[in-house]
Amino acid sequence: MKMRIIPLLFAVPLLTGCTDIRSRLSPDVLAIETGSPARAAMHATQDDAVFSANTENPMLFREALRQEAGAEISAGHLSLLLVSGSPAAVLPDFLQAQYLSPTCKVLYLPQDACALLRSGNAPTAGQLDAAAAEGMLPYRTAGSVCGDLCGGSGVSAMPAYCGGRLTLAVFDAEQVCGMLSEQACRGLALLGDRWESFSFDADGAPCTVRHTALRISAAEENGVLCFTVTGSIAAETANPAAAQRILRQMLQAAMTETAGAFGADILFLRETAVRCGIPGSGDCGQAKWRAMLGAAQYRVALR
Amino acid sequence: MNAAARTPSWSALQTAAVLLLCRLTLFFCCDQPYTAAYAKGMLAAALTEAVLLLPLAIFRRFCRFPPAMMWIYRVFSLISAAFLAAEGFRLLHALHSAQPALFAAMFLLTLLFTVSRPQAATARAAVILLVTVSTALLLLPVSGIRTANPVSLHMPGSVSGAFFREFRCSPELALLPVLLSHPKKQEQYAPHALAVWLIGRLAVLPGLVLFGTMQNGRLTRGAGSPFFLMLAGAPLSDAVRTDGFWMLFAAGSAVLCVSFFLQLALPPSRRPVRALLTVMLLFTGLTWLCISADYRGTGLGIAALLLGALLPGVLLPISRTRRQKS
Repeated sequence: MKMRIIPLLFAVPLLTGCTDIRSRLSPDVLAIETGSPARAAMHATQDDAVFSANTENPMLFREALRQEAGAEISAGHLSLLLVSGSPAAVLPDFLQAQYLSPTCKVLYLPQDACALLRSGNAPTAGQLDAAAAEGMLPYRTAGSVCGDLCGGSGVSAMPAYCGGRLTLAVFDAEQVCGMLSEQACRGLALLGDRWESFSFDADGAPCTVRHTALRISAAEENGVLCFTVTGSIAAETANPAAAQRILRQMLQAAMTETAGAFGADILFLRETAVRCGIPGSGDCGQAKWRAMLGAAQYRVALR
Repeated sequence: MNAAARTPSWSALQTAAVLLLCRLTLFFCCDQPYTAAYAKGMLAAALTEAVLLLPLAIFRRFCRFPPAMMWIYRVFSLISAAFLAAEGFRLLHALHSAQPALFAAMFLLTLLFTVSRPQAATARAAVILLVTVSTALLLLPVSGIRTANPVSLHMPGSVSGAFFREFRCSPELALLPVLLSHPKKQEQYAPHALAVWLIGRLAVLPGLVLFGTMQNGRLTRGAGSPFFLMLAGAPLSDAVRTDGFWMLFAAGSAVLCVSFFLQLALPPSRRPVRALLTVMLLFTGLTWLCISADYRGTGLGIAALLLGALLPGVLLPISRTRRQKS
């Protein structure tokens, strides 16, 4: 008798399987504009349509969009989140509520994220992936952005679309502090080491980076904290001197424009300082660490 | 009833599997972020346990537990069962599972059925679950080795906090004397069971924590269970969503472990099996008819049903049939 029950039990999951999914809308791209009122827009995968709605609180976007679209909203398949306004007001809460997966792409737009999504001109997750694969941007997702915000110096950086180009926006809990230069973005991509091809122009000669072995170390020199990028970069070019100079400039810009200018610790500098035995680096608060990074020196010493 | 008669006659692997599953269930339920300090504390606690348990392994043949002492273990089993069940529901809440009330009802029914099965069936199911999860665990480092960031190991953390938490999350510790004071024919299994259990505690769990630390990076606050966070961050998840399997495993192992503690605590009885099975099947059918709000809650309920009840419910008759044939 018991053996006959087995097929019945296995039939249950087969029969139950995801029948209600058809009555739901799964956005692949969501746009949020913080402020009062906040605004939300989404691109629904099933209908290939864009819905938008106003809401008092960005966290209530599902309710607002449900009323607009006339269907339940399931945010489980989100691949890109566009944010205008204050990213820190949205990202950690969305991640905690599991509207965002840690690997979801995030993109900051200085204004009108919803309008850009409706117009169909917003960058796609594929474009962000391509930029990261070509070494134009570091690979940064919701998990890494929120991690730096909560666990670093309270300042983070996320991909941004500004002036028709992809860059990185540095922001803290209250505001967006600034945008990084192209050199800094490329330097961060080099240090992140998640690119697939890395090419640039070395004073007229094309240069392709084949391999990097970079490491950041920390030391205290005369009471001043000093971070140094050491290691080597193997590059193919007809002008190696120019290529090495440009690569150094990229790395230098990556450190000074993030940690030096804004105290943004997106390169695991605190952990590096702990590893190198810098006193007080492990247990100081975010504000103090931010100040320490602002006062620190940044060097590049490639072989 | 004396201790020897009261304790189950399990093989070494079965004993170790039940013990490890108890720890694994609480490992999945724990929401403490992974850090290297966590792994160090875990390792220190496991080493301390190993040192403390050596005398037990050496002098186990002299251990005879008077019947009066069994009451202490029964009470402790009940407390542990309640603790495990509470932690299981906390995990459910952390995973934002829909239909928690439905899951609770299904959990309870499954539990009643599993408890009514003989202990040997629970042990067999535990071995199957442990083998499955061990295979799956092997895939994790392979899938995430490229995205792991070793510098994350230097994130600050408390070793002492992890050390004491490890003892708090090891309810199976207090049951070791009961489990290992087997009848004479089982005595040789005790050291092997201890060895398997200790390998899991000394190598596998701290290794998982270290890998999770490198995978999760700084995402330590307000992100729920760090294990499921680690799964979400692993590149394997881009191609194949594996978190469903782990949710299924966590639910099933919670049911099994609670059943295990209840079986130790309550006198064995098989009378309500048939009635409970009928109720459970009716309930499953009703579940299918009624649930239309969220498939995730249904999946979890079915997970618990399949893993917690089906395995012990089916394996025992199969083995009986085999024994009869042989």
